Amino acid sequence: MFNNKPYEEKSELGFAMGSVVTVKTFGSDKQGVEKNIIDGISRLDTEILTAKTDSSLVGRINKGDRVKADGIFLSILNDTLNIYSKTNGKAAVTVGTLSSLWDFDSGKEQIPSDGQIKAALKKTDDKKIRIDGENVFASSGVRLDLGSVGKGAACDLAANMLNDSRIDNAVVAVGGSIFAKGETKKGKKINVGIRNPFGNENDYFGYISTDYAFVSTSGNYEKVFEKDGKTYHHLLDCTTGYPVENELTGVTVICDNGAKSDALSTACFVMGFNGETLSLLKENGAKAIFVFKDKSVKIDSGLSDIFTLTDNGFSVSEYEA
Amino acid sequence: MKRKLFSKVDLIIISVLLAVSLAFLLPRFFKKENLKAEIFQKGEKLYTIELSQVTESYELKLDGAVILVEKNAVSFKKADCPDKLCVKCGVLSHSGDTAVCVPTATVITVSGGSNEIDVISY
Repeated sequence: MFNNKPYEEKSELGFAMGSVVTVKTFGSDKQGVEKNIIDGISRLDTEILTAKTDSSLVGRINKGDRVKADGIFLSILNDTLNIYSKTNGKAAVTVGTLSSLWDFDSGKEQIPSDGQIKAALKKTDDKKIRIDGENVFASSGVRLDLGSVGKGAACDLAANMLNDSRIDNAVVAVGGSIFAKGETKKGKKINVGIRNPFGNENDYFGYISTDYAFVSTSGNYEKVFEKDGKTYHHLLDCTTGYPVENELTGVTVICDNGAKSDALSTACFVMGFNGETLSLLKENGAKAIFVFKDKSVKIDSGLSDIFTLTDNGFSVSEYEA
Repeated sequence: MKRKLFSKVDLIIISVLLAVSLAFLLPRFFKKENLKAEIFQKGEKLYTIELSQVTESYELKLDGAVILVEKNAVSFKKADCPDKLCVKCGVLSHSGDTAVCVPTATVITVSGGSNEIDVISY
C-alpha cells in the first residue's frame, strides 16, 4: 500500500493532423511501440484523411475520383455520417468547401462574403456522398472534410495498436482528443482534465478518472480569430455557413470509440443542449459534459462518480440521460 | 473504578490513525519536487531541464524560438511564427502543462512533481 511508486513511463511525441501527438505508456517493457503509434497516426493522416492534398484517399474523392476505400476509412465515414445525420444538417462530412472558405487553420483570419457562403452551402450536403460497397465518391464540387473526427480516429488506431502489443496502461493525446486505458501506478486510474474554456491552454476546471475511455472536446475557444470586435470560431453551422452561436462554450464526450466521441462532441456543440442531443448521446452509449457561457456545467448523472470539480468558479448540476 | 480518559488500546488506535493519515498527507508537501521540462524541436528532444533545480533564469535560443527557463517555470519568450499562440500560452509551471509552436515545430512539456491530471482534453 505504501509502495505505490508510479509505473515506469515511456513517452514519445510527434506532429500529425496539425497538432501534437503524445503517446505515454506506463510499466511496459515493449520497445518502440510509442514511436510506431505516432508513425501510424501520421500515415492515417497523410494517406487517408487529410483534405489538404490530392493524393490522400479523401483528396482523391474530393477530386471527383471513384475511390476503393479500406475498412478503416469506411467505418470512420459511416459512423460520422450516421451521427451527423441526426443534427438536422448542422454538422456535415461534406463541410470541405465551406471550411476551406473560412480556412481557420491558415491564420488568414478572413470572413467569406455572403455570396461565397451561399455557394458553399449548396455543396454541403451529405446526401451527395455515394457509398457503393467499398467504393466511395462524391458529386461534382462536393468536398469531404473529416477534420472533426480525424483525431478521434487516430485514438482508435492507437487503441488497436496498444491492444495488439498487449500494453495495458497508456495515455494517447492527439491534440485534445484522448484515449486512456489502465493506470499510472497501482490503484491510480488516469485523470483526464477538461479544458477550462475561460482560461488558457493548460487550465482545466475538473477531471474524470478512468481506466478505459475515449474523451473528445469541442469548444468555441479553439481556432479562433477576432475581427471588428466579433469573435469567429471553427465550429461551423452547416445550415447557416457561420460559426455556431448558442448557449454553449464547450462539450466533452466520453465514449468507447474515438471517432464517435469526436463526431458526437461536434454534433452536441452544434445542436446545443436539448432532448435531441441527449438521445443522440444515449443511442451511441456516450456521456457528456456541457459547459455553458454562464460558467454553469451539466454532466451526465452517470459521470458524477468519476468527475471531480477543481475550479469552484463553475456550478455543476447533473442531467438524467 | 476510576476510568481513564484514554485506555492503552485507544492510544494505539489513535496513533495508528494519525500515522496513516500523515502518510497520505505528506506527499502533498512535495508538490513542486522534481518538476521537469522537456523541449523538443522537429521531433528531436533538445533539452531536459530539472526546473526545481534552476537557481537563475536563463534563455534558450532555438531555431525560430526563444525559451525562458526559470525556477519551477518555463515559457516561450519569442517565436518567429505569425500567430504567437505559443507565447500566449504563458508560463508553464504544473505537471502536464504543454506549449506548442506549430510553425517552428517546437514543443515544451512539463512533467514530474505530483500531478493531479495526466492529460487535458480540449
